[in-house]
Amino acid sequence: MRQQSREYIVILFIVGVLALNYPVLELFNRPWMPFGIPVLYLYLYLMWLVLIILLIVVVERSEIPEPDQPAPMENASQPEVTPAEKRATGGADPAEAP
Amino acid sequence: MLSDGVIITSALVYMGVLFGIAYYGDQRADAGRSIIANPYTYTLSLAIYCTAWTFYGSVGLAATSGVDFLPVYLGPTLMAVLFWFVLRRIVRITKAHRITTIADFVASRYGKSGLLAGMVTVIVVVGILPYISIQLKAIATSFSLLRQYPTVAMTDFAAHQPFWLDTTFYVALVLIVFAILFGTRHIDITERHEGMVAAVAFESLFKLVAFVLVGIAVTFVMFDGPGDLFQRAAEHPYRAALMRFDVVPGSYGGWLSLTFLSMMAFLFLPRQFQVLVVENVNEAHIRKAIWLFPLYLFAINLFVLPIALGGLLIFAGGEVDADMFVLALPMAKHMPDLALLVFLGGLSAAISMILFETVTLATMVCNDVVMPILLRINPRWLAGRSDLSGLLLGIRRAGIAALILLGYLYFRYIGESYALVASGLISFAAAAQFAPPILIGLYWQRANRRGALIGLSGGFLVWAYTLLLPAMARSGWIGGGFVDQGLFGLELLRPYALFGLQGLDPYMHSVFWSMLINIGGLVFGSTLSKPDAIEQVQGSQFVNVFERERHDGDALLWRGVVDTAQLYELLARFIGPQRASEAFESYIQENHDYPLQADPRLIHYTERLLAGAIGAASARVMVSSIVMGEVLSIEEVMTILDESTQMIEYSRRLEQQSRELEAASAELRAANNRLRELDRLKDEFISTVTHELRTPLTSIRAFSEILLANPDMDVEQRSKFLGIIVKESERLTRLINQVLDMAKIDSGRIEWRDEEVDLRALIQDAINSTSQLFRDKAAILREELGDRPVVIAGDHDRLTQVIINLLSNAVKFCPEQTGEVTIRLRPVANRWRIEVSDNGPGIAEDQHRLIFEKFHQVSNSHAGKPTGTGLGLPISQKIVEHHNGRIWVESEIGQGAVFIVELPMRQ
Repeated sequence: MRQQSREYIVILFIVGVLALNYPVLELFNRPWMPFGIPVLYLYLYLMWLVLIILLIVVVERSEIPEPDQPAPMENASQPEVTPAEKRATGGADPAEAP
Repeated sequence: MLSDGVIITSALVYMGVLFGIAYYGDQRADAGRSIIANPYTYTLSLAIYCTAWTFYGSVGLAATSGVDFLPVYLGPTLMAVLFWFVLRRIVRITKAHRITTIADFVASRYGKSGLLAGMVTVIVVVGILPYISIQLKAIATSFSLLRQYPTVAMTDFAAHQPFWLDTTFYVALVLIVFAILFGTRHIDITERHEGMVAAVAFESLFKLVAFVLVGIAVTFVMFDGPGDLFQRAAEHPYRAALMRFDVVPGSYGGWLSLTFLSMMAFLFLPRQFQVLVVENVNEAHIRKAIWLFPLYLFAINLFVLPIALGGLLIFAGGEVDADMFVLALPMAKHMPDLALLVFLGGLSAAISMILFETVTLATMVCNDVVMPILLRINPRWLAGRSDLSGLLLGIRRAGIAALILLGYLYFRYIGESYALVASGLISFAAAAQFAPPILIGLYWQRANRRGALIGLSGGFLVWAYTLLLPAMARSGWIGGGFVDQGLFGLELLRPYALFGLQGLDPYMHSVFWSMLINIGGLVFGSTLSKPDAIEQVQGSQFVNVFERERHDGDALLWRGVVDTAQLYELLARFIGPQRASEAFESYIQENHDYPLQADPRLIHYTERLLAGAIGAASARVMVSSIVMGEVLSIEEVMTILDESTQMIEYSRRLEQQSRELEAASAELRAANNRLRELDRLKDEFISTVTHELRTPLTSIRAFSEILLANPDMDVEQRSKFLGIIVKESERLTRLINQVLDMAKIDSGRIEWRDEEVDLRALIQDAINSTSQLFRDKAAILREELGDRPVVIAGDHDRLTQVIINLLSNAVKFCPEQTGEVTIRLRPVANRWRIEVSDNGPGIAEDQHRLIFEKFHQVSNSHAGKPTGTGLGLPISQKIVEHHNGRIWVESEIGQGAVFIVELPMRQ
């Protein structure tokens, strides 16, 4: 993941924590019902959805190889598992699956 | 319509389907073609987080506390945002160290401490019982509700019923059989259960569909869309209050602490750790799960409020427990199919949780509690048995049975009076105790075993005192006096208001105190005590997992000597002889070496295989029991680890330097080649020049000698000879001048003048200088020079030299008497072109380039005897090129030749 995407992710986390807590929630703590839906519910679910959409944008747009992962991820994630050990596990090497 | 038979049969068929999927998944895994190796299955398997709590309990909570159910899903959403930083690190470490459970992880981080692993296991077992109990409760309650269809009535199955009349008991028994069949078919040294993951992914999809269908049915069939539903719900002040924040217990503080609890529990509940980390096939899948998993949570929570409010409207008399609204609503509206689907959805949510949780827990209990105790009590007894894998399986099966039964007991004697979510939260608070040792241990290298032990035990005790014991007291299991009056009658020790801290809801209160003690204990314990070698090595390896290339620092601590045969025996005892020989054979194949005395690498290899089967701490104890000899000191190990890091840095630098060197040496080689070429040219030049000089000299000398020897030669003859001598001397002079010119131009010592030159006048001058030659040969010269001056920038004398050279060459090769030479000056594009054409014998195509080389003279029958110096054209070329121009020849044999010079126009 690019440095920029990492920063976006941290920002998203902070924004998420702030937006889904006091005092922002207090703003929506009222009996108003836009579109027939209580505004507190509406806000919480919309905020949640927005957060997910932003995550999609950030994560899916950063399909660039890691600078700290020169090798393909399958190998990098199991640097210690030698083929011998893989065989010892009964051949269940998920990384070799199609 | 929905008889017991129908319900039980469909439940068993559903479980059979799950088992089939799991079996198929295992088959495919054994064949090496995993069906779970994709990000979607991975994400769905994470949804094991949504248990009966989510399926039934959320609605129940929403019916009393409004939005209070949401933090349990917002927390994991926020944690998913951080997956890339936190989860990926944990996964990387787990893969590198072959960690199989969360107890194993904590123990490995803090120096493979058996004590710590045991403590984690105990906390998990005690902490998770309420959680298991609510799954049993949900299954039993939903079953007893559904079987009365079409009547909707809650039955009271209190403790006064004997347990053999209690449906829940039989549910527990079925689940025990199912979990044993699923989870403990054989000892796998990776402790991965692909089949179970596949089954969980399926049931995650199933419960999502079931829940969303109910939601749609309630919102759009029973009511007229969400607007209508909310409108009618808002008519009553109690229900209207649910739509605001005021009903949330603990208000914003409770909300925040619940969010935090869920974030931590989502990572550190044993089954979550299992699916998130141990069953992760590929780190890249995490990337997709970052957003896909929150989306799943969003979808399954979308209809919680409509269902809760719908339930409150339809069952206004409070005759149905809100926890069962999801099932009761379709029953009340006579939708038996939907009700059955809901029942199966709830069943699958509960089953998958119980299966995974108990299998994982049984592994932990076996590896981290039972085995170490057996090893400690009587190692010889174990040593006497050849194959322990059967024993391991037996312990695990017993563990599964015991856990589910304990969960049943908790449900029967303690948990009944609680709502689903309330019991579950007790477990969440227990799982959150692992957050400090793991998260801090991931980033703070100095965190050590003593700190972890102090923090974890302190946090656990506080948790037990402030949440678990009051829950037990409330159900009459232990005396309830301490809840109200405090332990020993001390007000300060009241479990819901410890040290007088009041105004928080019980969960936030407990989270605050237990985290304070836990983190404080970890930090102070670590700062005040000194870690031993293995702790330092493991701490450094965990914290620097992304920086270090090697993860075998703990192997370096072995320096003892042991027979390979002994190691093999040890391994075979735990994972069975067949798998052990397979493992050793592949090791030998890979290393082409079968040492009789095992080296540290082989010892480490064995230790890690063992760790997969019995946990890191036990594996270390087992191996160290047969490996004799001293170990490396911590300084030595750290040096080796850091050396390897430095080596990588060095080799990176070396590579770069060698690349630079290569480039430099390539340049040098090129320069050398050029120098050699120049040297060869110089030699050639010298030999040609001397040869060319000798020709006129020889004739001068020969004629002079003739004149000297014949003083009485007649005048006519003498003047003829003297004429020859003069001519040859002129040629010699010309040659020497040209050689000097050439040398000057080549060496760059010539001084070029940059002035305005009129090409037309310049050509005219050159014609005048060469007019004698034309006259001698009776050749005609045609001029086509235009009628206006053509001014360019250049060196007048040198350019004149070029034209004279071309004209004299032209006339030289013209036939006697009939020679015709034409000189033209005209613009071509942005250049001035000078053409000198003759009607001589022409120049062959292959000579067109060669004539511009030094001392090259066209010598063939057509050209006749060479008469020039062979330097005229090379010099001309150099001059023209200096003026950014071009010179070339166009000619064919017998057609005459055209020499063309192009010079750029003045800008």
